[in-house]
Amino acid sequence: MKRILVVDDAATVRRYHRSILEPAGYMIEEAVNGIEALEKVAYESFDLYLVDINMPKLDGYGLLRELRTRDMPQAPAIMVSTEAAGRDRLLAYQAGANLYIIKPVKPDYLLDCTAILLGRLSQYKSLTMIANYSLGILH
Amino acid sequence: MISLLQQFLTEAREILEAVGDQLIGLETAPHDAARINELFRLVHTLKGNSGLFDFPDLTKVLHSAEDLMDAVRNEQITYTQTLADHLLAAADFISILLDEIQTQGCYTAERATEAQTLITALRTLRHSSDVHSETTPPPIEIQSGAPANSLLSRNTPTHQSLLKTLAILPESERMTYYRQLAAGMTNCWVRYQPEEECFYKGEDPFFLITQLPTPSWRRVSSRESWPALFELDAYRCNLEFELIVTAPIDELFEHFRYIPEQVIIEQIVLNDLIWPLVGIEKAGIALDDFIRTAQTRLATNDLTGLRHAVRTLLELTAPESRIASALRWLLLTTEITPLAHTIHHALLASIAPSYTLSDQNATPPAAAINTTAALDPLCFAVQQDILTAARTIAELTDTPPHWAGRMHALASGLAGLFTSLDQPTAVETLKIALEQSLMTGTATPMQAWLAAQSTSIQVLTETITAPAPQISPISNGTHSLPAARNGQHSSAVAADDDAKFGRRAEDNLPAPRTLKVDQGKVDRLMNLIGEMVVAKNALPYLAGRAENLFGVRELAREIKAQYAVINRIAEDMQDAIMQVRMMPVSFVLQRFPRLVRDLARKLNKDVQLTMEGEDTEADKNIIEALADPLVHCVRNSLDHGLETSEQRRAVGKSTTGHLIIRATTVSDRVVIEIIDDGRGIDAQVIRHKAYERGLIDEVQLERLTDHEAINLVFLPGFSTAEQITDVSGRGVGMDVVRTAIAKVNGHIELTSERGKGTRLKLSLPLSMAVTNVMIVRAHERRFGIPMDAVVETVRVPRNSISIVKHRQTVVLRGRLVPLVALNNLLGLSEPPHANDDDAYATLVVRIGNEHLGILVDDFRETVDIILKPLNGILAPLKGYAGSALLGDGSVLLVLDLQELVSCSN
Repeated sequence: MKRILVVDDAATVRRYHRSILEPAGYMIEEAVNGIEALEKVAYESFDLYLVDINMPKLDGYGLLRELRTRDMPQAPAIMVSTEAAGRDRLLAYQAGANLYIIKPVKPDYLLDCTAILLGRLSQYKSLTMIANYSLGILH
Repeated sequence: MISLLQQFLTEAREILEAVGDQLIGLETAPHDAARINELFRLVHTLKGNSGLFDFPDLTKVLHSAEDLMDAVRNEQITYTQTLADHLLAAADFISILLDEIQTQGCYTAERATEAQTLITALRTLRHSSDVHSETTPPPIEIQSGAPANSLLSRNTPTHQSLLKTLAILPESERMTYYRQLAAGMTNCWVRYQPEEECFYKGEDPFFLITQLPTPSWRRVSSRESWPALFELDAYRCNLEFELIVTAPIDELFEHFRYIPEQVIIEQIVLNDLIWPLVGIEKAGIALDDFIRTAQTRLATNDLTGLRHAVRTLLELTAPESRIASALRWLLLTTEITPLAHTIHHALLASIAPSYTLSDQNATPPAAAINTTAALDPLCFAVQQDILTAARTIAELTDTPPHWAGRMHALASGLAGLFTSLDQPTAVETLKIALEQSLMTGTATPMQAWLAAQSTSIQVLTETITAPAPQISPISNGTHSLPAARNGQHSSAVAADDDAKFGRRAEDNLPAPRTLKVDQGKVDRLMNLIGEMVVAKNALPYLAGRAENLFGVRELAREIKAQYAVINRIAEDMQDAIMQVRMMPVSFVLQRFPRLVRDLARKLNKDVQLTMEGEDTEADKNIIEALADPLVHCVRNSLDHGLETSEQRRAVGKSTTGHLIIRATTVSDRVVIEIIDDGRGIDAQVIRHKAYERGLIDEVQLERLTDHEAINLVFLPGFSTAEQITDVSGRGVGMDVVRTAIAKVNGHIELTSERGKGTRLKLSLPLSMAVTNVMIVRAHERRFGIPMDAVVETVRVPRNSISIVKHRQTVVLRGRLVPLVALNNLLGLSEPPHANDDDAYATLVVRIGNEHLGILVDDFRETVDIILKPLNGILAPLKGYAGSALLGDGSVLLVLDLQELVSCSN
């Protein structure tokens, strides 16, 4: 089972992400800030990080920069932000994020992001989606 | 040699089990094509097998189930909960039939009526295909006799199949067809699936295909994946032909008039050809101005102006982008079909998702506009987002300390993306690129890799749209479409094909090579090894005798050396046979998804089951002993622990209850935890119930900690359920659970937090074959005590023993431990012997969740023994776990302390 570490200081956001990801078969761990996340990472490994930017103690950028210096398998990270600003996006990438997404995250989008980054999306899904959307538009 | 029937029954059970697995799997992923196909295949196999015997009802039920699954597989009907329920019911019914056949050789006559009910239900489902699309007519298949007007029958499963096929054609080819259609030609898509037995009916599918007017595209694929060569039935037709033919639909119906049920013909209409638009998302241009212009021109029907704007934008747009594709289509459609406003609007909308139709004069169907925002499949967008991000990251010029880590992370994300696209080759080259980047310290190799992926972006997106493998395009003279693809792609395909041809069919065999052996044989082998382990223990004694009795020290040493060798081999053998007997706990866990699903539905609760560590292994006996207690515990959790959705919502929990079954190996024990996040156990309620039932007295009522109170549920006859349900019976079970677990030397622990949930922890030995016992002496006799129960051995000075409530007790590590002499337990009159320091040898053992000190005369060594239950006239003796043969040939009686203590009470 793939393990995802959700790092966000807002309990609601963590719960929201959990409510989306857990039913999809991921195991969710939570951390309330970068420091706590680093503590978790020290003795558990994760397949994906879902990281908020603004957090007390250690923010998302700091967390990712620290993670990326560690000698361990580098799991992909999704940076979640409320800002659509281009500067944040660039900072996120510089810090070591793989993807930058804007809150509120749509469940489908989040599920697709995690699935793709974890290599789980099946061809079939793409195929049926194309068919469905093609049908949807003109019929 | 087992009979064919026996073989059938064995296999049928295996298949049914797999069917169950697939059905449960589909619960969570109802559109998983692989599962649906696998389910169909299983049912199909089972039906085929049953046909060998005269069990008409069995076969008929399977046949209806197969028909139903076939319809699901071909997307004529959708997989629903109701459908799953019926299939599960059918599986249960078949399982009953199999049981009856097994025991009686045939099933009872009443089953025929039940079968009929099931068949009717399954058939009804099969023919309820129109629920799938309420407003559209059923798919055109030819059995209706007269060719249907395909233009009326859009949005059918058949039509979806057509679209899937069209989706794999390159844009340029679809544009050619578009031109042809607009010019009045008729292009039809034909899918022909010859019957499996067609070769016996004098049919020649290939000939039939070649007799058609020359198709502009065709391919042959297999209906289901090819079996391994040695299983392949060459006389069973497994082909599927697909063609696009320029011919009137009536002519095609005429051509296939003898086999209408095997053919689907659909006339291609203009709209079919446009979608999907493929290409990378990012076009790198500002669209706002264009959209505004285009909108105005479209509204005023200024197509020339619109086309001009489109051309200008197209020059600025990366040709491989999706927007460019949309623009090209816009160009084509405005030129060839200037009146198709719906299409123009939809295309424009697909260019800019924010586009809204401001002009009411040209009113395309509302649905077209509403759904355009989502024109591109979301996952497509996500893939493009990830790719775009990856390019940005690769082009970052800073070199922070975490640069290498960032590269690794980039690569792992990309590996995920390309794995999800099923491009293992790309993933491989990615690894190389990453290594090169890390070695050179520059991002250039990664950038190059990304660029390479971008130039083949068309390939990438085609891969997404291409259906499963097994496609072998047949080359076809002048009109071969596959050849029209770009060079890079076709060469890649060719390389792929080469690779496939270079392998033998056997190479693709699923690897596990297993041997099915009757358990009796393994047990016999284990007994023999056990005897050898005991027999070899005689060698040290022999060596001792040789030295002491006969005085040949040299021989004694040689015997000891030889003993060491034999000992090592014996241990290895023991280990090996253990491995054979080991099986994963999934053997018992696999029934739970179904059980939980059924119970949850029955109790009207929303429960999500998570199972972890299913591959944890333990001895077969242990695993089997686990099955019933586990079922009981899970039932309890569902019935008493987890609340209904309403109750959960009322206390602010998520409406879905969670049940986790987790298996882990902790040193030489397997630990199974059953965790729910339900209402938990109210210790106060338990206390009072126990008091009401006279299980505890007033003093205990006051004094028991919550933890101790909760564990009162293990007392015999304890039940707190306010109403008796048919799910977990009368709640008498927990003492039974504990007894069953204790029988295999396991123990059980219950923790619970009110309102938060309950955790039940079962801990069992990995194996029971060899028991580690401590030998103790009592009144000049030797007894074995299983080490599982032993907590520690201590010497208790006589003067530290005090009498509390008429019982001898001692305080050990701050804990009051009651003492009892083994002699008393065994009914021997002798008092226990103290040693020279006036201290008693005391064995602290765990009985249930209590510690008890047992006074013995002396401790001796611990030995590994093969425990044999007492049999014959000794069998009814209580208090003994069994007997074992020691190396010196003497017999050791092994005590069952739990039983012994409860006897003496």
